[in-house]
Amino acid sequence: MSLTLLNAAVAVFIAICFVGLNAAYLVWCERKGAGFYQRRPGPMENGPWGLLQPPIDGVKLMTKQLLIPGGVDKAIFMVAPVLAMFPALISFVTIPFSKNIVAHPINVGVLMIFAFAALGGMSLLVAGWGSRNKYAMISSVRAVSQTVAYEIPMLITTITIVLVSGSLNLSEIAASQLGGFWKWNIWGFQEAVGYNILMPISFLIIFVCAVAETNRAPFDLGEAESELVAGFHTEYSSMGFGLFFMGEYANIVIGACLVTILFLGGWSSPVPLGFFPFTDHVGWFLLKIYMIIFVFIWIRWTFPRTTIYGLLNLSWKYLIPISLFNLLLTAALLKVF
Amino acid sequence: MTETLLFYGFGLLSILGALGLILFKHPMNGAMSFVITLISLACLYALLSAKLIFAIQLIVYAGAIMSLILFIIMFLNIGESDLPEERGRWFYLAGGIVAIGPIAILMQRAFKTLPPGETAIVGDGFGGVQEVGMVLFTDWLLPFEIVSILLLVALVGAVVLAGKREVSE
Amino acid sequence: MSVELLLSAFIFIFLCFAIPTVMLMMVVFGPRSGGKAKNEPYESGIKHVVGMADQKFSVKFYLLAILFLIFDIEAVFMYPWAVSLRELGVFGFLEMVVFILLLLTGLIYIIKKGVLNWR
Repeated sequence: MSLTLLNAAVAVFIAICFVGLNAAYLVWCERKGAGFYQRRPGPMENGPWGLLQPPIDGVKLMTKQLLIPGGVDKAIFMVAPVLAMFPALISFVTIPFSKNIVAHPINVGVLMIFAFAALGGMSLLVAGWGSRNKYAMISSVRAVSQTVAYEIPMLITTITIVLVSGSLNLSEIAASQLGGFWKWNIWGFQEAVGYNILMPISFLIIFVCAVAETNRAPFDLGEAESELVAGFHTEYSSMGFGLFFMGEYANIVIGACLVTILFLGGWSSPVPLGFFPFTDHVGWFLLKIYMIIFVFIWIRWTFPRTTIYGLLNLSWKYLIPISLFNLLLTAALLKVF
Repeated sequence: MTETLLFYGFGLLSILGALGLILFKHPMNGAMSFVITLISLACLYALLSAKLIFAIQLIVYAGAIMSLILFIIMFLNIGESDLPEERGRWFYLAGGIVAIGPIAILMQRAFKTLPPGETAIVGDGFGGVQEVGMVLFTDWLLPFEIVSILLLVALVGAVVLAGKREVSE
Repeated sequence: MSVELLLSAFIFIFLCFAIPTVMLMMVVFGPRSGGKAKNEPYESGIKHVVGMADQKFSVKFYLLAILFLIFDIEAVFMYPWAVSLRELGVFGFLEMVVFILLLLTGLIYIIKKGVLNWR
């Protein structure tokens, strides 16, 4: 028993390191990418290509003062960033990076990720309310109505994958797509179903929802800096701000992992040949998630922001009915063929 | 061993959270301690290997219902002046304990008469998603469909209640 | 040692130890100073011009939260169905058709009622 506990502790430690490293260097990637899209160099001063910028930023964030505005409830003000960070951290233990690299293969893994995401969404409201700042408050109401609106099509569309794979276990869903890129769920070619023309639609819905769930442009209405200063974390400085940022980037990585596992075959290599380097290796998984994150960054710095009404209408009027019909048709295909 | 320790830990946490819910003066603090209760309950379900209920508890209660409660608190926007004064708070608390005392004794008696059932961790399948699905969609089909009508009624009711003022304008 | 046990152990450790530790860390590092202007909310200096932070919101956001609650419950109900659809057969499929049609009726109702028409 103590050995399993030790294993678990090591797994959590690795997860924390992975999240921290990712958060730090994804910020760098984001800034560098933003620079390239806007034809400027991005961070350049610290280290080669500004590579030392993240650790220096980390030290800076840690040694600054956490300013607590007067008249707020201190405990609630301080619990919000922690609440943003920890659910994302816990859901990392359910993600299979490869056949053997998974901390805890829970057989309801998909639901677990949504459950912890739901916990994280609450932190936005707590932060906005706890700041007693009208920009933060408007931002948090916007951000929460956005995350809740896009959680429903995401939940419903994930069911199509569950129907095709017959499992809620992320490892099994990924393992069912092994053996070449034509077997990935995105094409919808499964032996059980035949050619399922609806799978690309599911992929699009999930991808849009993943962008919207992580509050990124073009759906970053909660952080619209031209209207709302900095959004729900306007009042947070030093570590509070740092934790919000880490939570945000951890959520981006989780979204990318989810898209990869559900649609892009997880750790499966695109060509199932033995001489192909590292067949079905964790490297493929990492490659895929960083490709998706690259697309996220690309989208963010290319498209302008929508309006909050357009954003909510897109989900409630289009994505939810489409995903419901998509689910029914997928189920019908599964039963008919 | 670990199960027992965790069981007592989560039991204590959920009781503390529930106490916080009724003892904190401001509803926001109460809501936060209610979250602790919800998470602890979810973990108690997980200890019973009821994975689906664990996920539902977190998704529906800690996610959806807590968002709703926090929205309401933000909308009502309760300031210090709106809170009740609660002057005889400790007096009421003592009175409540005295009133609950006999009920507690009754409950204890009732529990003692229960047959000493051997508790055992049931098989891994129990509480899994597929098992629940099979039972829900064969034996409990009618209640399930009625639940959907109930949710529809709730939806209509919410729209009607919230839309009242706009109609009269 | 089962997976659920480990997961709940993590959550327990996070709730009881990690969260208070991190909250403490946020305050311990860094200088501590205050002042009247420093402790004001950061609202670009127009704090008292556009009203206080206790404004009311449109009731539609509250309606959206209720809608989310209802749709969330229904979506979660579909997971057990999806996993056991192969055993349930055509009848199970028809059950879900009825369920989803009821759900869609509600959605059409709220769209027709103009809940999602923003001004």
